[in-house]
Amino acid sequence: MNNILEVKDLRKAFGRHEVLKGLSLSCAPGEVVGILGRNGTGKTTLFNVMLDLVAADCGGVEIMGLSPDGSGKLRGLIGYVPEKPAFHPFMSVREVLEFRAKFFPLWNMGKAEELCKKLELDLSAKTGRLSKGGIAKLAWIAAVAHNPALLLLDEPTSGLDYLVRDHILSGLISELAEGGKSIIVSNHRMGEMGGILDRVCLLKDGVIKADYTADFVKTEAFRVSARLEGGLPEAGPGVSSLGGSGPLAELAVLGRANLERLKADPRFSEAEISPLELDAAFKVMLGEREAL
Amino acid sequence: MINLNQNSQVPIFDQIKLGFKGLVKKGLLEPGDTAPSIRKLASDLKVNPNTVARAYRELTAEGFFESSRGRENVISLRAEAIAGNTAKMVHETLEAAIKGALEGGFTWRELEAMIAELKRKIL
Amino acid sequence: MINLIKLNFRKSRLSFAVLLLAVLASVPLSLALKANAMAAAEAINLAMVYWALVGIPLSALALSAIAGADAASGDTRSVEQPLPVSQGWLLSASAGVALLEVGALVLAVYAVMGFTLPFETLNFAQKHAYRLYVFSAAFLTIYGFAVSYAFRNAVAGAALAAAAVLTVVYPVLMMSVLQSITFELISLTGLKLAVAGLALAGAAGALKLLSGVYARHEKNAAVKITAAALLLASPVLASLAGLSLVNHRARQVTGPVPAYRFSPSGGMEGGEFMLVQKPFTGEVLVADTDGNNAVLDRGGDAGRIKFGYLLPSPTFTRAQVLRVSGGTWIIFSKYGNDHKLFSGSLKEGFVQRAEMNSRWDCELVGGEKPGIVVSHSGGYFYALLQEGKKELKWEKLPALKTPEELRAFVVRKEAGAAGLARFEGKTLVYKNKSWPVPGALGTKFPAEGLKLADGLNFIVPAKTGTYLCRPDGKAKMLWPHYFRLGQNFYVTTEGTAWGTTISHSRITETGLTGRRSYDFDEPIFYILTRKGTELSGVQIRSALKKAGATDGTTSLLRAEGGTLWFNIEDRYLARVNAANTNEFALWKLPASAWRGKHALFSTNVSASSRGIFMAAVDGIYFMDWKGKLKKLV
Repeated sequence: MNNILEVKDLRKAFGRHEVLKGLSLSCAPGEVVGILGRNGTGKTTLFNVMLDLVAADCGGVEIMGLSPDGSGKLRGLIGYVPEKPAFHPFMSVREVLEFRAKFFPLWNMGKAEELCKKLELDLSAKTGRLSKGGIAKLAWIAAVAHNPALLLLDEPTSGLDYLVRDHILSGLISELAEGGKSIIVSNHRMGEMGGILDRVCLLKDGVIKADYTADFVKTEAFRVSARLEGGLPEAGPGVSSLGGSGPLAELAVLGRANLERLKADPRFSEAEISPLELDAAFKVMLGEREAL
Repeated sequence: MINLNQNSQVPIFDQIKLGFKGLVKKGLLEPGDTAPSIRKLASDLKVNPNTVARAYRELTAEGFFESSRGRENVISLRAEAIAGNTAKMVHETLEAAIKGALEGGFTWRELEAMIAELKRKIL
Repeated sequence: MINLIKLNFRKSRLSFAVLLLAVLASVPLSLALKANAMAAAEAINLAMVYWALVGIPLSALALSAIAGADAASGDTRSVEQPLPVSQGWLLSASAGVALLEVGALVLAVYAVMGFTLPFETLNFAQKHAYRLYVFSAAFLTIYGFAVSYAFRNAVAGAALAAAAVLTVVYPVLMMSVLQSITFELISLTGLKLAVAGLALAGAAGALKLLSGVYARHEKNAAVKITAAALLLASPVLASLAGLSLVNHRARQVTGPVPAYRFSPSGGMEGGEFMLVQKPFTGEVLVADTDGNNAVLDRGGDAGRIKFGYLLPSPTFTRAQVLRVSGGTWIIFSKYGNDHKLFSGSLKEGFVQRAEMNSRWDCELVGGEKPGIVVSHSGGYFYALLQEGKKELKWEKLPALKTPEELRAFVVRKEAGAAGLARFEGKTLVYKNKSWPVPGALGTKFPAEGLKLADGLNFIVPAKTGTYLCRPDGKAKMLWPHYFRLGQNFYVTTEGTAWGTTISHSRITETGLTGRRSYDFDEPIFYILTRKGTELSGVQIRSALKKAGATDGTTSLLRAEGGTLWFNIEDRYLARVNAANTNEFALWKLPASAWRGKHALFSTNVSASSRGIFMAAVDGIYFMDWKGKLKKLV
């Protein structure tokens, strides 16, 4: 089956600053892919290029058989929640939904109204007066009301309180339950999506540095605590330091093979091995050290 | 209802299956009760509905769930037995192994050390 | 698209409503503030004229610049760009709404004026401005939007757009005014279409390029921005190019040099060269049939119209030519400048001999000893024209006091004292001959002679008709019409005398487009050839019809061997068989300047023995009697 999204060797520079340096990414129908990356590394640029909002310098993008050509047709097939959603402040929630309905032929107003009720969003409120949570809810509803086959979500829960976050995640799962939807999502707290993701892609240095399955991250990420005399060992593949004080060392190991290799080392015969939590694993992937 | 450990080596769908079996064992779910819809459970557990669907499929195949009177995913009469079965099986196996070890001359302390080492090894 | 229009209208509705209300409110306001003497309708019209000249342009700039700057702002982009429409649609809707709103304001002003224009209150230049009004308003709106978008700033955009529109519209307006009072040098419709097309295409293209750079961060930004700037500047360049073309073509325009009023004949006809002026450069030159030419005055001092200093303005020259045995004397003066006297020939060149004060009236006098007579300080003065001598020696002529006495003096000088016939009662007396002419008219003045094959004849108009007094002493009536030599009876270069009467009629024709009727002034020719043959009542209707001549300004150029040549309205040379005027040939003459209702010259054609010179719009031409045309200069 063809991939619903195929990005090949994408390059984009703003002036002299190269952001995307030959990025490739694909997503199969029904997949949920997480994009993991630090701020300012090109996540939003990648989204913008995929949505035909920014023109790539070179490279190919094909989504559901269409390529970005400036006409906006591509955006009619994708449900997009931007990092900072914006609406005309003089419009009410209802007016925004009715306005958008005219641009998407598959818009389901009933679904939109139902979601508003479920998410407790006041249809008559002017968007200029909505809180951050209200804007996020409206952006979410606007993205899914036309039942797109692909959802692109840029930090859909960032800065939102627990309850709104919960609503959005439930909504996401609801959309998945309806079937046939592919989702590409970037999230600072990727851990909270651990149960939904199929894959996690690490965006670093302008390319997808690594592409892990969710299973891998859950079952092949280990925390190794050991007492070492004489300093830390050389980092091998998949092994990074998590900190530690004095003779007590904490290591993170990704990959069962790498763990077996470490265990073979006599210094780690008495080491304490436990699974590494999702958020810590993601942090390690990003190249961070865990603070003590 | 069911607690999931995202970091566990045990796959999510397996944890869901075990969760249901545990609930039936504790008497919180009885034969004749309908399991929550795939969508609701997925939403509550914050997991992919496909995962829940797979768990339900396998539970149905094992006979833990059945369809009765037009409703799907109903706890069957054999559920208790199946739930109890697994625990009973594990219990019996452990009992036999420990008994054998003790008879073989191992002390409880040695056995506990072994279990700790295994905990490290099997992960 | 309609939804985007509704959205943009929603965004701008407050500004638009305020402006519309202001237009409507000026009605009661103007009535309240008007002087008691002014009529109500006049006060309202005045208010509306102010709106049209000042209020609407400012409103157009305000609405369009605000819309353009908003379209370029990050806030608007973050809301509207994610919609599944292209930048093209978004910008078109925004600009389109601004255009519609400006159009509504223009309509409102027009409606308040009662859907008519108060032409009485407009001066000449403003009448021309009105024709460009709708275009200018649309241009201003589109450019206000585009330039504000380019600079992402409403004030900068509005100011620059206003400057651009002014630099485009002002030259077009000036050219329109100039061409309406002179003649068409370049196609104004073509220029307006080019400018309008470039303005629209330029703005659209620039917006497409700029939106790609601003909204979609396309690569090669610097190249695209430069291209956008060039596109926006293109109508300005077109307008300036039109201006250069007008100036260039004006420099080529030639015209004949009319005679001084002081000397009605001027002496231009008949020579083997034509004296020609280029009014827009001030050049005066002579050209002969072989293409030789000599420039008497280089010009370059042509004036400029105030506030239209980019446009050429003509100065006109008058002259007189005197051909003597040794060469030619030419005197000419450009309007307001001193008279310049030249002598020489095309072969040897012309030399300036003297310069006379511009306030003097001058006339060259031919005859055995050529001279020049001038009038100033209430008296007449005379000097001999002598080759080789530098200064002119003036002697006062106390006997001359009136123009008629001057006329007699000149004729006497040219023909010799014996060349003048005079009247005793109603009898013409010349030397030892006399002819009684019953009912002779104009007997106070001496009669000029006409040299025919049999000698010196005299044409005398009388009450019943015109008489020919022959050297053999006989006087006979030629035709029952009034003809006077030098007034309405002329002599061609080879000596044929002719005159016309005009027959007025109204013709109604049925053609493909239905019936049409028009006034037809037909010239009927009365010709006296050199041999003495009379041709009465010659009509050349077929030739005139084919040439489409209706205003009767056809003249006879030559009569030779039974063939007549005519100049039809300076548009055609016609050769007609005298015996059967339905046999004719027509040759088209090159277009000449200052024809039609703004005709400044009676004719641009000057006949010589081998053919006719033509001072045309783009240079001097010569056509021989067989219709062969060549360009001389």
